[in-house]
Amino acid sequence: MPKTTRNNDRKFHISMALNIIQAVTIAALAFALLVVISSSSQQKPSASGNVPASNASVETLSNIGQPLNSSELSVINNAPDSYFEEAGQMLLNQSLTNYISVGKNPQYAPFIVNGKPSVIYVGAISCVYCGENRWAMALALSRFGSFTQLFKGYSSLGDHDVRTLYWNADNYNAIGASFGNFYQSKYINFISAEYDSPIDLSLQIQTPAWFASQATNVTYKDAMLFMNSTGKFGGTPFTFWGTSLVGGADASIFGNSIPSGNSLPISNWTHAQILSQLSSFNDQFAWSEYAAADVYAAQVCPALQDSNTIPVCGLPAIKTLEGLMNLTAANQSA
Amino acid sequence: MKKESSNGTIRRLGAALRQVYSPKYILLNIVTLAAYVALFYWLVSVQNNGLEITVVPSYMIYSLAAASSVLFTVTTRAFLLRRSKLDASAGAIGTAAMFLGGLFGGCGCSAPILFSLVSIGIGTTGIVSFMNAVSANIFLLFSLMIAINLFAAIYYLNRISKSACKVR
Repeated sequence: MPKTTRNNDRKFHISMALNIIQAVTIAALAFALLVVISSSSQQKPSASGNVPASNASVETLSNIGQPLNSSELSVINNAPDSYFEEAGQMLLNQSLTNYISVGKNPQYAPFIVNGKPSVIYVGAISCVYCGENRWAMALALSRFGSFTQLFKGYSSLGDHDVRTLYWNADNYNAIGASFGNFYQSKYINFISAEYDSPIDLSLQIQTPAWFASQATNVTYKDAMLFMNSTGKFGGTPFTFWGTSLVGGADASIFGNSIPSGNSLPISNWTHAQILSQLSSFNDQFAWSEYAAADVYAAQVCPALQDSNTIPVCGLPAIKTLEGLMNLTAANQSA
Repeated sequence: MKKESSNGTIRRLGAALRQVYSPKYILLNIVTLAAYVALFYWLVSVQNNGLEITVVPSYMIYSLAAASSVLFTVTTRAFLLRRSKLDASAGAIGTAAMFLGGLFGGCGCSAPILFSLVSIGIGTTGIVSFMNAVSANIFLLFSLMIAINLFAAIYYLNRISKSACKVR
């Protein structure tokens, strides 16, 4: 075959390949644009506020997996109820500079184990939103019981290295599932399932169905099957509080205000600094964390028969949040 | 027919590039680059409650935007010279690359755009597997998209540098 013909054939094949790429990309672009437009119309509202400059993140996994000592644990377990009330009022009068969602979440019958309703958590240690939101979750849970152990953790180095708490002694070097925690309460159960993966790599998550397949305990298996049955899993964290199903974190708290760009202040703080802020309760970060905890607590209280014996459930801010989320006891589905 | 040497090819493409990038087309490139960067961060913020949080380093975002905008500029020039539909539609490759970049770059613990695919029958297990694969290979994906854009830009530059349709 003459060289000219071979060259023409090669040019034709390149041209055809580019044609195909163009056709596929244009079609995909059109479809994806439709999907994005529909997704953005469902976007939760974001808070606004001053945004200070952020420092570059310094990666570290210092003390990962280390249990909190008694004084550190006390910051979570013995936080004053007044902090929750004050933060809740700040949330209601919109004086917080972080994003916290107060929405009407899908409602289901309580998941009862041993006569108590449950809080169910599906997450991943590598996940940045699980990481930032566990502080608020721990504070919320502390109103109904206490932790005998919590552990210092991080989101993955590939997902912002956020300082966080782990519910359990998670395996941050290999892939697997961690079930359970060190929480005790006479009012609720806390059923937690965490996807473990190498913490020095990227974000990795799993579905409730996967956790159900890994669970060896019947209660955990049933809890995961329940979460899967909702059909609303859209990433992590994926939680159930009393009767409310919460897809995603109820807040995005990475510092004292919404971060500009990709640098997150919480990625530069130590666990000691974070606990100190929560204890001092004198900056936007702390107020926001307690407010986010209020949102979770307000979703648990209506599911409890004896909520009038629990101090947090009597707080005016909690009552108001319950009303905003349409969660008064009379509106609960059994 | 004498085969062109590689040096000759490079000189020819370089000459074509210089002639494509008149002040008007430099401006077009800059505007397109800015638009592509804005598109990326808009897609990221849509997936992250308004936050521009991404696992992709800035240099990769800007490299992809640069490669995509160069492709757009070259194909626009090619279209105006040759009036070829192929040239006109080739700019979509760069736009699609930025779109995918924004989708992947904003893909985190929650990925509302990807999970909306559940509505068309794609299971959550499949979506999660895809998300995990994207997350683990984000740098490779961006590098690939940059390479595709650059290859396409060189291809179209080559087309418009040929004698029949040189920039004059």
